[in-house]
Amino acid sequence: MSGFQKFLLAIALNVLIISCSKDEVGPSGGSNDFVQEGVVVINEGNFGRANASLSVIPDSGEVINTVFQTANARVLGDVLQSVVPYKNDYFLIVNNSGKIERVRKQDFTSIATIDGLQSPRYMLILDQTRALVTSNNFSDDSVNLYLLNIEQNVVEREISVAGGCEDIVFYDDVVVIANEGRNRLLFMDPMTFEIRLIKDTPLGPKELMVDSKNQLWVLCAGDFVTTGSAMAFLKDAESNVEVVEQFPFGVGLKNVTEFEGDIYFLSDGVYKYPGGMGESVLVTDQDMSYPYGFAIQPKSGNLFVGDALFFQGNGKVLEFNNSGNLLNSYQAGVGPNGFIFE
Amino acid sequence: MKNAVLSATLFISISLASTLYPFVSKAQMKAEMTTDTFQLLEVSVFDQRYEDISSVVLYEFDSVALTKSNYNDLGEFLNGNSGIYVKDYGPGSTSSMRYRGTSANHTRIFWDGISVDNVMLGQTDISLIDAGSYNGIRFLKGSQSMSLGSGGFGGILNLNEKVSEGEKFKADASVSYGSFETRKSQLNFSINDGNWTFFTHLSGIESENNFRYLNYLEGDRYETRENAAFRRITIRPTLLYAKKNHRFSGTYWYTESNRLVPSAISVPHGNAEQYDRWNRGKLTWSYQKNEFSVGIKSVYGMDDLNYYRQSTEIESESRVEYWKSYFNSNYKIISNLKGETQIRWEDLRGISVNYEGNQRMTILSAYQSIKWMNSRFAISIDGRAEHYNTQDFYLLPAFNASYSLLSDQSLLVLMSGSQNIRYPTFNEKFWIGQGNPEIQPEKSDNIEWGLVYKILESSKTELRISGSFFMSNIDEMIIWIPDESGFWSPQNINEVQNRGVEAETAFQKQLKNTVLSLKLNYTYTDSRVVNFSNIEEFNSNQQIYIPYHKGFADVSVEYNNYFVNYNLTYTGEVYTNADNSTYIPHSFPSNISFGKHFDYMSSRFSLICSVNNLFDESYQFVEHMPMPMRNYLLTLKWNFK
Repeated sequence: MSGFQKFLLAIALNVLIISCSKDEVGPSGGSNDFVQEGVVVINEGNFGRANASLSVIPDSGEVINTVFQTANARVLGDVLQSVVPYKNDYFLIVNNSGKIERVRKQDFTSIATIDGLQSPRYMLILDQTRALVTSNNFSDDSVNLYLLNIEQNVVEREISVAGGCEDIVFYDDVVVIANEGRNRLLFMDPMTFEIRLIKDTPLGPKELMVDSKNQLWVLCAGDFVTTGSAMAFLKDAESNVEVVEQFPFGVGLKNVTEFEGDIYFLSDGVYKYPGGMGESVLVTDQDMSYPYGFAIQPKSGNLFVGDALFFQGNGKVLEFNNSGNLLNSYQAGVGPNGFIFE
Repeated sequence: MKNAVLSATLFISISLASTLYPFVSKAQMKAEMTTDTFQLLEVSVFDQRYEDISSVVLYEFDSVALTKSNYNDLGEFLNGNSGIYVKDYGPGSTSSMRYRGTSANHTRIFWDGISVDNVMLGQTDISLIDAGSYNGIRFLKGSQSMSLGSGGFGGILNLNEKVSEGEKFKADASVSYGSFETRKSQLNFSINDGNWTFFTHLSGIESENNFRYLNYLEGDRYETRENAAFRRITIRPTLLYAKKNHRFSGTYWYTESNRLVPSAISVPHGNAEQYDRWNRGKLTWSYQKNEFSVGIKSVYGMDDLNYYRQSTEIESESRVEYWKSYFNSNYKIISNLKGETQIRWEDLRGISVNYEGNQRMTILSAYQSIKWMNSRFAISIDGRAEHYNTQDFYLLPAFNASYSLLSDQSLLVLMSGSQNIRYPTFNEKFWIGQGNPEIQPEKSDNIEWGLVYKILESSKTELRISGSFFMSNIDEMIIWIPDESGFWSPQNINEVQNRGVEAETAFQKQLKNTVLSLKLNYTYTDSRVVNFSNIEEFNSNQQIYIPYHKGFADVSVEYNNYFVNYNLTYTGEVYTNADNSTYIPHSFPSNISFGKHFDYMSSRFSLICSVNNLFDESYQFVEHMPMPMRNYLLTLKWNFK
């Protein structure tokens, strides 16, 4: 173990001792000497309880919780939906607080708070000065897209899009938005913000992922009543969205991702489409009560699963090797829904 | 509009009282006021033995305690005057009861022996009930609640009205003004003319509720509560006809509440608001002669609950309609053997956009109790049978026993036990896409032991101590959890074990010109999760929102016409997560009221100054839902005697 790693471990142990004790309601404040290297865990929190948080699992393996609160002596907010890394910073999209927090990667200290958004969900960096943020308001005349100026950290423009919007990605130099409220994909010009193309999807498109073959995967949630989730994909911009697999009502899908040519996703366990085609196969569902977040660490190929434990308390993170064997378990915050790997 | 409700209430109150007053002759007013108090259809006959043990098996709140002016609602009153933990979201906001490890669904509200809980939610928002609107409230704990109905694992709060038939005219009224632009007014009056008695209660409250609180989540700064204004009115007239041993009565209960709904600290409130309206009518007939009584009562109700949240475009409107009829008879079988028989029939309807069509349920239940007693020992064996139109049928046994260790009956020990169920609510069964038609009733076994010792009892001094030890378990406990799709639905996945002790001391001493009273109460509750869906992280932890420690101290001194009352409520740490990783710190809020009575002619006026949260404590009963810092209330009361 190098000297630097020992230093990191010492800090982690000290903070672990502090954070393992019962937490009173409210921020504790404290040291901001975090050095982040490893895995950042996105803890969504309970709706309406302002207990969203971030955790860090350094390569040394000792998890450090509530890093934002410790660094800034205030809580992060209500429902941390997603995190977008950008250069030396993270943008933290806090859905029910209607804001985005910009923090330094190194120590999670706050740089700026961008207010004035309604139900922000996901963010796409367009260039060095602009970013787009989606919102899941469902009424037709609501603002469901925000243009941010990320030099000044302000909302520059509101763009009306009918129906709630979820994930947003670049695809063939065009911005593609999962328009969940209208069950379609919107292809938008990143300069003029005009909708160039619309493609229908199965009910409830939520997540998007562009694979190494330049195919666009669309994860659809179904509806509240009878229609289950569906995995779909778009072979190219000229094609229509095709259903890869339709799931029964009540089966949820999350976090579609690619690793070494296989397409993975999370349901009641981790599944994959070998080679990106055919039927899905179970990789692992070991020790999971309510799997809620999933990602694959690029450098190791290890699978990280966030178990929200039904949102009844702090969740946990399970680390598996690529064959699905459990390696480690870490305590996280409430509702771990995603990961950032550094 | 803001002041219209209270102004109207006050106007009506004064007009009615002044209009009716001349019809009562002076001679009648000066007549001795020994009351022939009629409790509108008593649920069961309480003999002296039962009264002796009542402090252990139930809480009984008299009119003096209930009409303390500094409480906004029944929830605030119960938190400060009982071992019940009230999960109070703040003044004017929702509040519900928890007792002995049970949840809000397990502590029920009855109106004169008939359940009025919202069948969709399975509970009653007790913030909508004025503390002073009833002069006889009893909370039957645990197994004792089986005499009224099922589902009260923690207990049943029975709202009773005591009407004084012997007094030709009786009235009391109050007006209050306090912090955060709070205005309250209340009028109770009764008129008796031979066989007829008319009694009514009117009350109103409104408040901007923009209180100061400490935002500890963002740098310990003081902020002003937003989106928390509320107003509420209640009207409840009763007409009673009594002749020989028969009594007929009709009561109408109307409550309307409009409130903005604040959010947790650091969470946007989203411009949420809620509208509640209760329309309830009750007809009763009873006959009582010697030790035999029989009665029938019938309640029809229509309760609306509408919730709106502008930011997320939520518009939820629902209505519950119910028709409930109840037959009850108490009788003597042989000299030491008594019986009680009840038959209940309930027709319940839930109307909501969140259901697929209107939902309906009928319940038929029968209750039989056999009570035997001699000079030392008393025992009752009870059984309740319930049938639901879903073809579910349940038999629920219970027993109560007491033994007097001393011949003067000053030292009693008692024991009780029961098996109970809580049938799922309409929301748990029928909510679109999320309700669970296969959900099963929760089950509970309960047993408790108690002791009452009347150390001193005379016309001028009373000292009593009581204590109890309880144990219960709840199986098939219903918890709403998310499924794979992220939709929350109810599941029978939890099992809980509760045990604890409760102790109470009551002391009253009357000297020449002084009356001193003291009441102390402490409850310890150990409520453990035994098995939460096989998740090890949660097992053996204390249930959320069940404090280990709860207590209160209430001291009153009256000297000549001056009086002072001090109340301190202690609530221990309350966990807010199933893994017990976060908690609300303990709290010690205290209130003080002081004032003076002024007698003039046949009236007594009282001027009362109240200081709530005397020591300006930052506290809460629900995570991130603050209670007000120190605040004030000035009240003028009028009592016609």
